[in-house]
Amino acid sequence: MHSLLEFNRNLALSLYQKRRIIWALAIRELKVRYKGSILGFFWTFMNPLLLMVIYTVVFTSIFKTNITHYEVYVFAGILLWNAISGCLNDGAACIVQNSALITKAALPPEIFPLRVVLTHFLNYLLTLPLLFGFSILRGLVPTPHALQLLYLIPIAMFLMLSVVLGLSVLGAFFRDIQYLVNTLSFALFFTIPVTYPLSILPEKLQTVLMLSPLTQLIQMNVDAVFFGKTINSGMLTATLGMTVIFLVISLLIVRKFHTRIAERI
Amino acid sequence: MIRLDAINKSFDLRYKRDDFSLKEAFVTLFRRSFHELKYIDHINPPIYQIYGNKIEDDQTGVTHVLKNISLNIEKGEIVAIIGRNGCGKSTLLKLIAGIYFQDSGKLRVHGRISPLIELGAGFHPEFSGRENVFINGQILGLSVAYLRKRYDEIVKFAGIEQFMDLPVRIYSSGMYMRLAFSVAVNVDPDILLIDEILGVGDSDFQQKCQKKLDEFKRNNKTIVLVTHALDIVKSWATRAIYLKNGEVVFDGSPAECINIYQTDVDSDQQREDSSGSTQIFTSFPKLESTVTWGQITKVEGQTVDEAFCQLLELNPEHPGLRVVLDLCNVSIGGHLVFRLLNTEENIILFEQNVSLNEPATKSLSGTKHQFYHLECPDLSNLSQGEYLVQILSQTNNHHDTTLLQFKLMIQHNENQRGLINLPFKIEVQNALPA
Repeated sequence: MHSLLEFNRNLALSLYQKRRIIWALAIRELKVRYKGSILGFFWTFMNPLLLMVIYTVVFTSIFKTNITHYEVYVFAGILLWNAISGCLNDGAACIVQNSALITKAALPPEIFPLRVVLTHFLNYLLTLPLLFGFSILRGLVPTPHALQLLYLIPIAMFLMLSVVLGLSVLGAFFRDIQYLVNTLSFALFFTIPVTYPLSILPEKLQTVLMLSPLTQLIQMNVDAVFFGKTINSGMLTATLGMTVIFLVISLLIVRKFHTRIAERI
Repeated sequence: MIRLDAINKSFDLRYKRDDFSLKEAFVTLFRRSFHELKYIDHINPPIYQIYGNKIEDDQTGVTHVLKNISLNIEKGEIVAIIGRNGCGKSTLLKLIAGIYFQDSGKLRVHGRISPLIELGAGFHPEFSGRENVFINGQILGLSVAYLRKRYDEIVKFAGIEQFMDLPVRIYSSGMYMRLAFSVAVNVDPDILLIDEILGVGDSDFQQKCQKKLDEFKRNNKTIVLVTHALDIVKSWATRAIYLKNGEVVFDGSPAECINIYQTDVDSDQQREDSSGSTQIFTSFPKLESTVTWGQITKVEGQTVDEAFCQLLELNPEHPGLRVVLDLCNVSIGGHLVFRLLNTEENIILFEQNVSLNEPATKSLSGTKHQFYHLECPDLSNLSQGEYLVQILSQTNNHHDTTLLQFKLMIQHNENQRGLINLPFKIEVQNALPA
């Protein structure tokens, strides 16, 4: 137990010491994405915007959903989901992709999960003004409840970091984790209430889906920015609890494997 | 100050395979013996398993790279580590840098370390030189404020002012290395670890580098240096360590160390030269194939334990030849020469010279394999008879060393004579052709 605490302290210390370079790499990653494309940063909006249009057309005209401003509902969900799935997919690959920085420039592998989470959530923050702009344009003015994002986003980041930390190490040891995560995240998309409101599902299924912290996150997100509700404190506690569980699992994985990461990549 | 106490390090090469996957890890859980596994999964085993010198004698796939190393390096010392490729030099440096972790033993390092192992590792090809200076500087531990202050100086040192706003992907490899080096020399650590990065750029730039390194020396920095440039070791280091197969053979004055190293290399060379020429390969994987057009005999060359010749095969369909050499453990000159001789007349029918001075061969270090595929796909123009094929290493002043040679018998048409084979046709007709 003592050595685990000691290990965690050292891990936190190494992340703290490298905070500047983590930040610089996160910013660089953001720039890389749109480097060389004419529309540049505009692409950040294009993908969710297009998805939103598709889902809106499909769900309002074919499935006849009864949510008013369905397009805003979908858009809010997609933006956060993009950040989450980006974290998962990049997270599984990040240590392998940065092998040169780890084995040649001696950067500790643990910094890359943090970089991935930072990159995707910075990107998310940059798209938020568009969400609110779009929402107002459609006649749905955000309520002060949207301010709950101020603590919801850090919690989301913390949850994703807890997951990605372990995932990145596993991804370095077993390359097929990357493909597994790609496929799984596609499947996960349909278990979260982005394209549909949770309330249309049978109650039993709702309970099962709500066990997933991702469902909880998305639900709390739309509660804050779309429904204008106070976030359910029980749900929030559940998410925090899940975060702690994931964090412990991840830390155990990192502790077990971290000395051999550099020679496996 | 660096203290190493009985350090051991081994690598599990099973995992170095690109195709090691979750599936195999899963299978290994149930089937402890990996040896079994690799022959089930690979009808054609990976190339290094054919001749891998270290792997074959140890079927677990574990290579012992550093054996019981104990060293004390004090502040202000300039220590050069020399030894052949694959002797564990770079692994030692990476252990000190904290990239690898030892299996057993104690390692203590006091002071801030700057590892200069491969320059420009943090460069991103899409970004401009300017942006890369900043990010790479930060990776090396420099602050943005400091980099801003020193920016002009860095650019001037690299001597590529006019290219700084262009993406580094369009840089020549020389420009790239010069810029990377210019950023790197700005570090201000207590301990500097240098792996084979000297020798960048032209002689003018070399001089600038030398000056920078002298400055480190004057400032009483501890420097650990891995290099093959023995003249730098002699003129610059205060202490030299000769590593051989993961063990310290000599630790002391650079001049003496170089002497011991060179005598060692020379005697190895001689042993290879004297025994090598009589060594006959018997176990080429595909030598006894059923090729009808020809036959390989009398294969001679480097000793088998050098894991040198990976493959020697004839094309079963039509006259053609393929050789795969692993040059990672072979000391060679600047050129590789493929030569085909007519044994009766003793004349060179064909010779191809390949210069090895490309960056890829420069970074050749550690146990990294360097496979060279040599292929002569069409030999159908050779007439029937016996030929000698030689693969030589050639230094810049045309001193040849035979790496591999063998006789090649070509048989097709018994009624043919002469040096070459030409398409030929004869037809008999009763009337004059139209």
